Amino acid sequence: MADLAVEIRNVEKVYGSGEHRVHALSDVSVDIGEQEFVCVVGPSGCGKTTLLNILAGFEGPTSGSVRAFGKPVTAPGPDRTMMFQDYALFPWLSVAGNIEYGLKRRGMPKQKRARVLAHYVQLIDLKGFEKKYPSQLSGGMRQRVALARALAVNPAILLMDEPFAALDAFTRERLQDELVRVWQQEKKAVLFITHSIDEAIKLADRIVVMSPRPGRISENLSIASPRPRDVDSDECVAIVRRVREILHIWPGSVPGNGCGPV
Amino acid sequence: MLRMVKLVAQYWLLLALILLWEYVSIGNPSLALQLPPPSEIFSAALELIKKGQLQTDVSASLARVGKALLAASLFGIPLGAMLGGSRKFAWSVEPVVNFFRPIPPLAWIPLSILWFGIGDLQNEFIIFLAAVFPILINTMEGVRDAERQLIRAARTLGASRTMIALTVTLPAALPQMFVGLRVGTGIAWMALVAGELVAATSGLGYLINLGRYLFRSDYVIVGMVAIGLIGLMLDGAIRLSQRIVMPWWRLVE
Repeated sequence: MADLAVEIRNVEKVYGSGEHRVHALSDVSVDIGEQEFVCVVGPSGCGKTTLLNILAGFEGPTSGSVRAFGKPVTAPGPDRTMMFQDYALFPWLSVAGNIEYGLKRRGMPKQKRARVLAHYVQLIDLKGFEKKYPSQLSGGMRQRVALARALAVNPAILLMDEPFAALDAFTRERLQDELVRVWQQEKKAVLFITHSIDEAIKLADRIVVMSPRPGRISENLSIASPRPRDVDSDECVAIVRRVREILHIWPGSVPGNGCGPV
Repeated sequence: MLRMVKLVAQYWLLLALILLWEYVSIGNPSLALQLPPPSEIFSAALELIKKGQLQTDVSASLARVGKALLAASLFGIPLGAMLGGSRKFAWSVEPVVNFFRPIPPLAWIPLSILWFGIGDLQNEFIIFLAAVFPILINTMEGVRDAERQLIRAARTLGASRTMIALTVTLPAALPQMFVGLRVGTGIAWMALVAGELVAATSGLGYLINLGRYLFRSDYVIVGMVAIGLIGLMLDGAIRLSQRIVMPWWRLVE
């Protein structure tokens, strides 16, 4: 992949000053290729969400540069849509209304909107639920709607902030499979934040391991195995072991979870 | 049938109290002035309806409350939205609001009579003061509490500031705004009667006051019952409109 979707260079982020000074990100540089699926793993407090927020344009870095598709990031925009852990669906809009929200904002005519809507409702397998409100859906269905809403505006990169963390284990696995399927069809770059090593192994082309205090990048690990992945393959097991080593979690002590003692 | 059984189960206590009241009141003629029996109140109500007085008073009161509530909403909702939406604006304006808020609307009656004389405008002013603060404060809180994640989601989907205000903050604040409207209407209805007791020539408060002068405690109670029933209906009307305006609200308990 020759072209880069995202170039993050030497980003520092400091909150507060004096005693309350928090060094959230220290010299963070990440490149994401077009159509590359990158997972960021790390324990709480390693700055992974801060990194995502900076790329989304919700906040700026203290120093360093962030560019998306060649242009510096200054504000949020529909080329970089986001999925949140708590869905962040508009409760007053139906499934269709939520998916069409971004399309309406860019003034897409009604007939075209209906076509886009039909495509994504099909893609996320929610046919027949178009008129339901988010409160009438299960957590897994809500997150699928959020995925469709984020994809409908045709972003170049999808930013995902632990989107499956609030779901039960079975729903989570199903949605991981669906995300891989959708991503293979839609061909976007993805930056996916998680604290689950297993999740990262299943999804990513590349895992970026972050460590806390100050938040920094410890290692980049590429995964070559084709999807759908066998998490028990030699390569995957080796990568899990490597991530645990970096984060100083002994194998077996905190199974499948990057949130252990650091 | 089941509906009837449920209705009886819910209202038997109220019914029993009314029957007890009738029984006690009929048995003690000395109570005729202090607490006339419900049957007498009912015939007094029929008498007032036949004369057309009750209708006149109800519509006079409703018109006042309607006008005052409209004014309170037109003033309170935009101001509350601005207070909730802009820290800078709230910084200097909120102290003004918080100064006037604790002054009871009834304390304004003497001044308002000097300003507006005795009449509709004076009454409406008192009702306006009673209703405006709950509407304003709740709108402000609703706007302030609009979820940050929803606003962020809208921003990443390409919504402008104006569109976020209209399509995210406003609907997010609606439930709280309806709370303000319900509380405001309740207080307005109470203030109305107080205002009419002091200075009015029509309305349910006026009817109660008239009953007092005429030693007709049955008139007084007719006025009180009418106030209670209409208050109940107003609240029901607001809840109904909330269901229409916000079909997504409380779909799943």
